Amino acid sequence: MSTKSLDSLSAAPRTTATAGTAGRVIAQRTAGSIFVLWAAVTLTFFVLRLTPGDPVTAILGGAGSSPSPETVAAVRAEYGLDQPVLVQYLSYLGGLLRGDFGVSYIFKVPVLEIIGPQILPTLQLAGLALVFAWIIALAFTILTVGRGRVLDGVGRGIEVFFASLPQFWVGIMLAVVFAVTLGWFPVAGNDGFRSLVLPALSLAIPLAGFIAQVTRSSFEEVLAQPFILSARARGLSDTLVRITHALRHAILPGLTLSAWAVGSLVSSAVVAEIIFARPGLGRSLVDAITNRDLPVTLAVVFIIAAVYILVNLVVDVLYRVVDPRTNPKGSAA
Amino acid sequence: MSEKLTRRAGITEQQPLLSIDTLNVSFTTPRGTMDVVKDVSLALVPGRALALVGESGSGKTVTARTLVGLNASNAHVTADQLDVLGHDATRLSERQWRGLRGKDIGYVLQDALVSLDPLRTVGQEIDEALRAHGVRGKAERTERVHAALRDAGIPDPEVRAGQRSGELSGGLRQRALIAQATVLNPRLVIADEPTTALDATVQAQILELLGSLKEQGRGLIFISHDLAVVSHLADEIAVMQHGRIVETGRASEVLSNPRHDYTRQLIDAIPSATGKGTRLSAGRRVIVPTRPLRISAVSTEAPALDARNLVKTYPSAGGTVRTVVDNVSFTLPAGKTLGIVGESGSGKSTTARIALGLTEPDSGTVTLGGLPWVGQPDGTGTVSEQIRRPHRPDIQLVNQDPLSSFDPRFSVGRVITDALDAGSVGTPADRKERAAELLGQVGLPLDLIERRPLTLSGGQRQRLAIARALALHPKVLLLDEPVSALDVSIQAQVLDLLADLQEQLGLSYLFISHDLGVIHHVSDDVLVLKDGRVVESGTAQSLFTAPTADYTRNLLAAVPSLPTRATSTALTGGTQ
Repeated sequence: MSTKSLDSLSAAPRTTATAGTAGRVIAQRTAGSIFVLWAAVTLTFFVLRLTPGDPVTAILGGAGSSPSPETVAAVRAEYGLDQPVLVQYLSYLGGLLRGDFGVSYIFKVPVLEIIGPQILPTLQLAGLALVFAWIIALAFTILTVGRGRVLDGVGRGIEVFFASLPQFWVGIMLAVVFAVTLGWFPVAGNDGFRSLVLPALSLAIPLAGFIAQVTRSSFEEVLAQPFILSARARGLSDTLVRITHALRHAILPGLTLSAWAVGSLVSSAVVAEIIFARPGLGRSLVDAITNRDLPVTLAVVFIIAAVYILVNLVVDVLYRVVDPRTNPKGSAA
Repeated sequence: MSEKLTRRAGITEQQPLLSIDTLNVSFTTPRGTMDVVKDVSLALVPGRALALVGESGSGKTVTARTLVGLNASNAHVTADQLDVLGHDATRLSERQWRGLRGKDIGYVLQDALVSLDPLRTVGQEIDEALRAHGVRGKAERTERVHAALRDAGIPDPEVRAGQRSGELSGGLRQRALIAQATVLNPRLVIADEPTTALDATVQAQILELLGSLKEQGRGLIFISHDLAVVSHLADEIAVMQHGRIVETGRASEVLSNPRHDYTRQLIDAIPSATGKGTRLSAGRRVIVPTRPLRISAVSTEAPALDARNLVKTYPSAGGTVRTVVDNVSFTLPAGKTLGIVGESGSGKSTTARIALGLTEPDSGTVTLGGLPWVGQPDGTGTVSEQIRRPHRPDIQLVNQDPLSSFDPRFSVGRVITDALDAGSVGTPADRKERAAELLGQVGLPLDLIERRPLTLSGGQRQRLAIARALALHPKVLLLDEPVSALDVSIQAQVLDLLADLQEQLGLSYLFISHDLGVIHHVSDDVLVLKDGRVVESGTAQSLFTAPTADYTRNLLAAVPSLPTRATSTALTGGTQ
């Protein structure tokens, strides 16, 4: 094209030069993932170690108990707490490499036995919340964007309202209306899909507000593009143009946002888990922090970091599926 | 009127495709009603081409969109008669319109890069038209997609159907855009600026393709701001200004014997046939030279720019090396204009960046007014930025798209004073005064000084970009496609302004363009680039009257020109 500016022309060769092979990309991403995991664990380890208070007190039943110095010394040696912090840190890392998350200070059993059963309920909750959030966000986008000033304003207003709602408030309201008053869903517990709906919605509604705001603005931009006019000039209906052309472009920024959202859903799941009395990682984390149960805290942080990384990888792949131009193989030009 | 709705089945080849009488289109906006199309009457029969010509905002696009029912929802359409393919278009429902669009009316937009969905393959885009109109069988659709691509002159349609518009060259991409509009053999094809932004040779091919659609008996509506482009294709021309048709008639008649002033202006504005020194627009500006805020150390005797054996390579995918600029040498004498012409990918923009001292060449040198500027004369090492920076104000750049080079939050005045601040010359009061002076020099009214660049018209933006480039009294302006995004009539005014500034401020221009007409008009000397190499260079006069390289001859042959003006070029080509 002859209309390119100086900058875009000179930028073109540079991008092709940096595009690596698939193998190199995978290697880079794996190294990056391991680094993030390590950094999360290390940071948490030292922050918890450097906060005042002796872990031995936690192990021996909290501040109220008054163990003898001999008992304290014995426990200290048993858990390796008499070693220098650096040695403790290295031996913890060594354990991680073998898949050993240590023993809970409170329950005196391997950490995985405690949090293992909690992982699935939390992932189910976060996953369903994300699905709900996307359904709500897309419904708003398709139904209200570019449909006249009134609908546009209403859609925009509801999105801001949703985005500014605190999750715990949404959770309590949903519980009061749909569980207590109407009795459509169980009030609490972990009993199949029905018990999952309200907790998931309480997390999904504020998130839907965020996602919808992002998709709305990109949807508006796309609707003004000439290729939308081309599609309509081929005889497509307005709705079909929105679904087959505009939507695909509009979800791209929302996808990026979702990568962040899933990670934050896992860590903010605690709100829904407490209100609806569900088991889950969030509750385990809060309990562990309150009880200064270091091994459990570290393990939950590790799992949340791992979920972040996995979700980011999945979103990257999805991004390339939706927008093939981002795939170096897909743009052979 | 209702009788016309029932005539649909009986339409024959001889009946008009379009029959429009007193069409008015207005838009309801928060600031009141805007009348965009006023009392327009048109007619079109099969096998003929009608060109709607006029500058941006003249209402030609709105007229065209009315014919497919695709105006914005706030449009209000009235007409004594609005007969489209035998239907009363004022009464068509959205569903009926959908039945016509794509099937009976094909609509081709300007730039395929943005007019085709960049995430979908061109095959999918064409296929969509077939599906929308109920072509069921998958095999049949695939066959028809390939046939449509082939008919549009695309080789290897099986391969091309699987590519996205961004992967195709400008010409192929535009052909694909035409294919998606014509796959169902519509009787009426509307093309809105279908060749704007294309290189001359590609433009010629696309015009030929549109011509073949006409030969097949379709009616063609062709919109352009450039009379030269429509001259070979149109049977009839309607010239639009401010929403009205000011002149209409047989193409040859309108072009050779224009009756309306505006038509004459449009014809005069075409720079293709007129040599340097000829005015393209009315009026001449006197530019008052002012007390310079900085004194340049650059000699006015030595060549403004002298480039020797520039080479620039980039690594490309697969470990190979792509030579973007290959042994390019040129001299720009002080006070003259050197035109660099070439198609996309010819290396003209990279050459420009090297001349600006923004991209380091692999080898070669550039001197600026006799001073070492890029690369040491002995061929080793570079000129350090510390040595270069004091002379940077002497060479300034004007882009094709000035808007993106302005900070959108800055006012017009601030855009200019910002450039003065960069040179840290004069007092703040001096700079304000200089900003006002510069606006006067480029012909912008002083009351624009508080406006944002976004609210300026295309021509005004380019004037502002020129004012900013002039702020620090440069010796050389590097003009990279400075008028390519402008309408012919605005282009004429900007080219005249550049000529005035050069004459009165003694500027030297390195003028880059893909448009040979513009290059011919502005240049003393011309450099033709292809694939990074100089294929021909010489004075504008010798190069345009007696090109030696085949490539130059092909380029020249592809330039659209008015038939009448073409003969006058041959006669007056030597008057410089």
